[in-house]
Amino acid sequence: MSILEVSGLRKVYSTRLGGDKVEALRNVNFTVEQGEYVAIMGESGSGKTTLLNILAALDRPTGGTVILDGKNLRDVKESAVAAFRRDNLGFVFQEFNLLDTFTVEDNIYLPLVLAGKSYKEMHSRLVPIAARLGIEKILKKYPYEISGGQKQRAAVARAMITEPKLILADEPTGALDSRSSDELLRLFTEVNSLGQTILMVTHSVKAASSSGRVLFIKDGEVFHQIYKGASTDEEMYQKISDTLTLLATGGNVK
Amino acid sequence: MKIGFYPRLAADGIRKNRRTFLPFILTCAGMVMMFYIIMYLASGDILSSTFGAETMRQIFALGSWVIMVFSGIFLFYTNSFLMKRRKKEFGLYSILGMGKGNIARILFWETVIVAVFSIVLGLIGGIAFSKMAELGMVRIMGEEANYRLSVSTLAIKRTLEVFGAIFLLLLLNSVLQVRFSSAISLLRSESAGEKPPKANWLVGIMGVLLLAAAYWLAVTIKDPVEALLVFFAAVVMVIIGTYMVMIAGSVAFCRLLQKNKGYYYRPNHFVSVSSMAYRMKRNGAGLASICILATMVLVTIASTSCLYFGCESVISDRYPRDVNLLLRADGMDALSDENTEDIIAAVDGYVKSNVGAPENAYHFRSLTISGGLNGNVIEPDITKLSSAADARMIYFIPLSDYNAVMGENETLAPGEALLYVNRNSFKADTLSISGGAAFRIKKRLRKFIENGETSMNMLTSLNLVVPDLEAAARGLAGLANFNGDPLLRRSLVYNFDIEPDDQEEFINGLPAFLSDSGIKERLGFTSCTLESRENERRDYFSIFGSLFYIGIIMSLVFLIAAVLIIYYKQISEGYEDQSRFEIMRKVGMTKREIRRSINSQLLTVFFLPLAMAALHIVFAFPIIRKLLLLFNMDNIGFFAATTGISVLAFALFYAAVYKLTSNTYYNTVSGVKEEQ
Repeated sequence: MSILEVSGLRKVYSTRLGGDKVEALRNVNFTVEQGEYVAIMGESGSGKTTLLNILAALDRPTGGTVILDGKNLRDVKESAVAAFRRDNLGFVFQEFNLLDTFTVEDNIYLPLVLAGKSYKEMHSRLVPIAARLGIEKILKKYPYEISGGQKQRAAVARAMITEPKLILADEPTGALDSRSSDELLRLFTEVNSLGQTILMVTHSVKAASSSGRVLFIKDGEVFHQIYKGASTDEEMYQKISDTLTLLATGGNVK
Repeated sequence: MKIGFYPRLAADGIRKNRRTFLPFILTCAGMVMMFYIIMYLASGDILSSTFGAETMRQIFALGSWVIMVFSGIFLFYTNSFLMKRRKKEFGLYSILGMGKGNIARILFWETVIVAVFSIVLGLIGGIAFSKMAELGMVRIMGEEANYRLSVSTLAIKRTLEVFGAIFLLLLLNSVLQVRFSSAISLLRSESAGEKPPKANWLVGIMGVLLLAAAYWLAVTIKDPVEALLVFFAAVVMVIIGTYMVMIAGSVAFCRLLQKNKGYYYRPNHFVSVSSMAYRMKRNGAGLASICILATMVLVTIASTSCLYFGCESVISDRYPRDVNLLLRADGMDALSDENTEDIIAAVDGYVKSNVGAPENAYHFRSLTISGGLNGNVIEPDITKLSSAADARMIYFIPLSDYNAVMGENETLAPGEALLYVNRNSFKADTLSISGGAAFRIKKRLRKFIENGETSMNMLTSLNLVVPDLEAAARGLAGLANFNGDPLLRRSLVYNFDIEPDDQEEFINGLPAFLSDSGIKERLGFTSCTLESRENERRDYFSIFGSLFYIGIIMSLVFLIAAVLIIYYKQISEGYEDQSRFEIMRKVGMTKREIRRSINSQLLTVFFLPLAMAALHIVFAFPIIRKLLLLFNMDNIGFFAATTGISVLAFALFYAAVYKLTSNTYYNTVSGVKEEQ
C-alpha cells in the first residue's frame, strides 16, 4: 500500500514583480510505499527543496496532486495545515532546528505539547525512543551544551515522537562529521526496519546508499531511480555514483 | 587609498543600517534639542522682569545637569544596540584585510557624521522650539510675552561642549570594543550560542526584599522633613530593587513555573514560559530602565502638576484673606480685650478711609511655643528631641476668640481645653507642658480657625482652645525665656478681604501707618507683618510654574528615552526571534499560534514595567504627599487626582507606542520569509 502518491507535480515561481517565471518542478511523479526508505538526490537547483516543501505542506503546488495516506494535501484547509503537519509528518533538518530556549527533552515534547497531550503520555512515549536513540543522558541538557550528532538524534526523536506516517529528512547529515553521519544513517535504517517510512533529500552518496531506493531529480522531473534490492551499501554506493556521473555528463540512462 | 574612502565607507554603513541608525540620530537630536532649550531658558534673560526669575533660572540650571547626565547614560545604552548589530560587518571588514586601525577610522567618521547630523538637527529644533518653550513658560507664569525669536550663543556653546564630549566618549567606547575582540568573535558576536538563563534566586529575593523595604519606608514615614531624607534612600533602593527583580526575579519566576509540569506542558504556556525566561534575561535591564523612567515621569508630572494646578488652594490655605496681618507683643497686656479692640478699630479706620470696609474679617489672639512631643508631654527643650518627626507647634487660643470666629458656643472649666490637630493625631486625654501647665482635653475639634502660619509650617501644630489666655500665659511663665530666646510668642492675627483685592500701595502702607501713628507702640505691640495674597501669588506661581514646566520638559525627555528603548528592544528581538519563528512553523505551529504566543509575551514584557511603575507610584504616594507639605500643599484628594490622571494618560500613551512598535517587530520577524 502506498503511503505517498505524487503525480504530475508542478511548481512555478514568479519573480516579485510578476515578470519572469521560473519552473522549479515540471512534472514529478512517484509513489512511496508504507515502510519504505527513499532518498531523493539531485544537484543544487534541481527542485529538491521545493519538492520537500510541498510534501511538508509548507508550500502549495501550482499543479498536480500529493496524496498522503489517502488524503489529498490540496483538501487540507490552510488553517488546519499546521495541525496536519504535526499529526502526520516528522521533520529532520540539516540545521537540527532545535530551539535553544528548551531543554532537549522539551524540544522533543514540542509537537506533542502543541497537540495537547498530557505530560504523562509524552513521557511514556519518550522513554523507549530515547533509549533507542541513546539520548537518555542528555535529555535535561540544553542544545548549546551537546554535540552536533546528539542534536541530530534529539531532532530525530522529536520527529518520531508523534508516530508520524512519514518522516521527511532534509540533508540530515549535512552538518555532521562522518562518524555522526554513519551513526545517524544506521539509526535511520534501524527505525525504518521497524516499519517507519522515511523520505530523505540529500546530496550525499553515502547517505543515499543507506536507503532502499534512490530517486534522481533533474530539471524539475524524476529522472531515474535505483532500487537497492539485495545489494550491499557498497554496491549501492557504486550504482549511485555511476548514475550521478551520467547525470553530470548529460548521458541519458532512460 | 583616497582620502574620501573612510568617510564614504562610514556613510555607506549608516545608510545600510538606517533602520537602527535613524532612530539613534533622532534620539541624539532629541536630547540635543531638550538640552539646548533648557540651557536657553536657564541662561536667557527672558524672565528678568518676572518675580522669582532667579529661582527659576536655578531650577533650570539644575534641570540641565540632570539632562546632561541622563543623555550620557542613555546614548551609551542605545549605542550598544548599534554596536551589537555592526560587529558582524566589522568582522567581515577585518576578514577582508582591514586592521583595527582602519575600522577605528570608519568608526571615527561614522561618529562624526552622526554627531554633526544630530547636533545640527537638534540645534535647529532647539532654536525653533525654544521660542515656543519660552512662550509656554511665560504663559504658565501668567506674564506678558514678546514674539522676538532669539538665539542664545551661550546655550549653543554649552550644548556643543556637552554633546561633543558625549560623542567622543561613545567613539572611545566603540573603538575599545573593537580593539579587544578578534575578527572571528566579531563575525559571530550576533549569533553566539546563548546559554539558558540561570535562575539567580539570591539576587531575585534580594530585589524583592529591597523593594519591600523601600515601600515600607515610604509608607511608614510620618514627618515631611524626615521624608525628604528617606525619599532619596527609598529612590535608590527602588531603582536597585527594580533592576534585581526584573533581571533575576523574573527568570526565577519562569523557572518556578516550569517546575510545575501540569501548568508548563500546556500549549498556551509551553513556548511562552520558556521564551519568557530568555526574553527577561535579555531584556531585564531594559525593562527595569523603562520602569524607572516611567516612574520618574509619573512622579514628576503628578507632583509638579499638583503643585501648579493646586497653587490656588495652597495660596488660600497660606493666606486665608486678601490681607493677613500679624502683630506680635512682648507682654500679655497688648492682648487684652480692650487693646485688641483698639488696634482692630485703628486698622479698620485706615482701611475704610482708603478702600472701604474690610470684609470677611476675623481675628484671634494666640500664645505659641514649640517643643518635642513625648507621649502626652511637650518638652520645650528642643535639644531633648529624639526625632524631627516629634517636633510640634503648640498654639493657645482663648475660648472667646474661638467662639467668636467659628460662631460656636463652647464652654470650658479651668484646666480644660479643646484640641485641634492639623496633621497626624494626638490620642491622649491630657496634654501637659514640661515645666508648665497641664490640660484636660474636653473635646476634639474637626474644624478650626484658618491660620496661615500653621498651614505654612511643616511641623504639626496642636491648637489648644483655653478658657483664659492670661491664665495659660501664667502657667507658661517659667519657660518664657528658655535658652535665652523668648520661647513664648504672643500674637494677634487679623485677616480680612478688601475690594478690589490688588491695591498694593494701600496694602503696603498699612504697617507704616500703624508705626507712624504710634498706636502700635502705645498698645504694646512690637512688630507687625503684613502679607498680601495678591503679592505672594506671583511668587508662588513663578516657583510652582517653573517646577511644573521643568517637570513637563523632563517628562518629555524620559518619554523619548522610554520610547526609544522600546523601539530598539523590538527591533533587536525581532532579529533574534526570526529563526525561532521559522523553526516553530516547521515543527507544526500555526501562524496564529505563534502570533498568539508572541503577542502574549510582548504584552507581558511591555506592560510589566508599566504595572510595576504603577505599583511604585502607589507606594510612593504617601511619601510624596509628605514632601508636598514642604510646599504647603496639603490637599490629598487633589494629589490623588493628578496622580490618577497622570497614570492614565501615560498608560494610554504607552499603549499607543506599543501598537506602533509591535508592528516593527512583526515586520522584522516575518521579514526573513519574504526575502527567501
